[in-house]
Amino acid sequence: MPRLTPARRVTQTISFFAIVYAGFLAAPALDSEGGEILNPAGYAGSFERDGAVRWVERERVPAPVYMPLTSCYYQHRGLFSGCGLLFLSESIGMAAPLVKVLPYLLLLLVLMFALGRLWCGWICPYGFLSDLLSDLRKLTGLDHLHLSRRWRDGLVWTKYGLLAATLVLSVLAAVPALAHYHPSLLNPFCQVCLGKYAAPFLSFAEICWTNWGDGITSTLTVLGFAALGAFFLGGAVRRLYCRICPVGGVSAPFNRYGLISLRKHARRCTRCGACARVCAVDNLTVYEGRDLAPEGAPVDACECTLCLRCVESCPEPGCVELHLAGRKVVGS
Amino acid sequence: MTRAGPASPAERYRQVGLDAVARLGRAPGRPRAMAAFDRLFVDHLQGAGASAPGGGPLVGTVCNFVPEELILALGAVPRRMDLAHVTLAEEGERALGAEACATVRALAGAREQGQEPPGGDVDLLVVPAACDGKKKLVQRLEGAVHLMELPQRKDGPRAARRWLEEVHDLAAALEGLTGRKLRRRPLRAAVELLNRRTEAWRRLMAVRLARPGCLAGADAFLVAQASFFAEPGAWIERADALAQELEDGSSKTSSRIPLVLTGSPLFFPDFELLELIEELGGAVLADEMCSATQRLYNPTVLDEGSVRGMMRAVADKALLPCTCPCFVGGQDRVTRVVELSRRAGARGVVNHTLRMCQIYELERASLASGLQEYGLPVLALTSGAGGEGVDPMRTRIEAFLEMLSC
Repeated sequence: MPRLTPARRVTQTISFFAIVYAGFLAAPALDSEGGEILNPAGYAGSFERDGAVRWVERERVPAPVYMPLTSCYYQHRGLFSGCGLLFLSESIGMAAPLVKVLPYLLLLLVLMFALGRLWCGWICPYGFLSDLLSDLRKLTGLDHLHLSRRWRDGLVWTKYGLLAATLVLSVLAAVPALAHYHPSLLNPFCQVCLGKYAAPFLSFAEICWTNWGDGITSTLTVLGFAALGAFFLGGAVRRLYCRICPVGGVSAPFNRYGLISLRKHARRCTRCGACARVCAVDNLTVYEGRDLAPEGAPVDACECTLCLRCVESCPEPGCVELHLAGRKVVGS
Repeated sequence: MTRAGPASPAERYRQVGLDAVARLGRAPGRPRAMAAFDRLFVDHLQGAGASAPGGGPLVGTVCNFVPEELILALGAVPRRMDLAHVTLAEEGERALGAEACATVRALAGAREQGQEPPGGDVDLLVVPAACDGKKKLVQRLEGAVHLMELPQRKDGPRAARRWLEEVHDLAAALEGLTGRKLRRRPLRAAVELLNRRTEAWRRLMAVRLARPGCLAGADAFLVAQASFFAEPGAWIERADALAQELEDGSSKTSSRIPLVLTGSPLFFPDFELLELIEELGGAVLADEMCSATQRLYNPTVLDEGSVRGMMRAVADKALLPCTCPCFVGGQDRVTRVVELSRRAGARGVVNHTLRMCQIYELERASLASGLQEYGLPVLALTSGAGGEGVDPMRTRIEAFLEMLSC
């Protein structure tokens, strides 16, 4: 039973401060560079309803990369350009030429391919905040709320529903006939995401609470409040926001088909249920891996944030392991 | 405590127990640290352990399903009561008939006679309904008996919900008995204490596997069953001392045939089967028995700090890793025996069935075919209580060991 949680909290803390505040340190150097600030979609602004381009000033960032975690572009003096979902929806919505976006896309794919959702469990600043909410609850001696399997599955589908809706709306944003709605349809999830509130709040910028401009933005505003509610409800239901976060949904398949994998040696499993009980997102595939996977095979843990609490909690040596590129990194 | 007459079944049980301790103690090359466990048994048999140390209520249990953590957390003293013996079982026949196993009959018999059951007069007896015998025992016993109902399957949300309810009911009964309320800190302390006990047992298991033959199978069972009545802290101290002695000892190469033991529980003093196997050249390196390893092997993995959260962990530990054939589905037991055999390098498995222990009897064939898929030969044996039927096994064990040594 290796102790991983302290290492994870340290990594999360460092990542949190780096992603949220490291940009402030680099700000003077970046500001002195000046010049036009472009994003990989090849534009520097947004279309107005009349077709005119409204130039939006975007800050330079020290690391112009789109990350597979909620490195929000609403972040004042952020470290990264934004999250992977922003990149996808913006590139689609602006019908950006492939050649412009390709380097960013490849880098995003490499990052996801290499570490899967380890980004969610170990690096993501909002994953960290969700964990802190749980830690706070534990300190008070309160129990967490239990979800039935139906609810758990429902949340998984919500995540992919949000991802699908984001991509569909982004495609619609690029349709010339719908140019009137373009500003409302562009980057729709950004109007819902927790980052819309948390990123400006943490970086001392102004929060744009509402946009009642039209039906689309009004709907997104309401969904945004729901997402904010979901984050705080995470104090009762462990990592509730992470369960519906479509940014995690983008990297989910790489938990199974990337370099990183959870593996289970089922013959060593005593079925004690510790892995299922400690899982903050109620992922049961490690526990049930005994029936499904052949000996030592990767577990289908796409919904898992790879926090590795299961590895840490498994009392059977060598039963649950994290593998990277076919090599064991850490095991129970 | 009421003293029984010198010729009473309880007195005969005491004598048989003391004889067994003396016999085990005479084995050549026995680790010195075993003497501490012998003393625990002698004190227990002579009645020193009949009442609870510290004056807390004594809560008897007859199964691993009863979470001892709850009992300890409420300031009561847990004690496994099923160190039964045929001397007491005879008395239980009137209550339950001859078709119940010796463990159940002994408990019933002791109450029937107005005597304390083996292990002392308890303030509450907690009986999980793991078999028909135990259900009828609850029906027959009067007074402070608490029944825990078990799900038919271990897996699934329904089983988890029902079992957790049972554990909460038990906690309420114990709160009523002790007049205390279950709180976070003592519960956590109790869980951590018993987890240390598990660590100590795992350490012993590891050295037994690393140095085959360093501890006799019967001695390992004696150690495990001392935990039935010994205060956990005292037990851990002794077990650690024993493990240390075994780890420090010279590693001998053993020519004995490594075996894994599974099946119905073997209770002190009926260790004849273990002694016979080792006398004939086998070595019991590991076991999958609820009266030894299965009792001590699994830790409670705590994740939550709330009473409810810890209760869930404790309930899971009592139910989920259990390999008892009282549940539908025997694959967990097969997997467990296979894994233990792999770790022990065992060449064969001995599957023991206690006479009239129906659930184990019913699972005998499926276990054998399950193990044969992994190339593990199985010897199925049936014995009665008090070593009855052990001698006729001699030739079968000899033949089995001879087959394995080829």
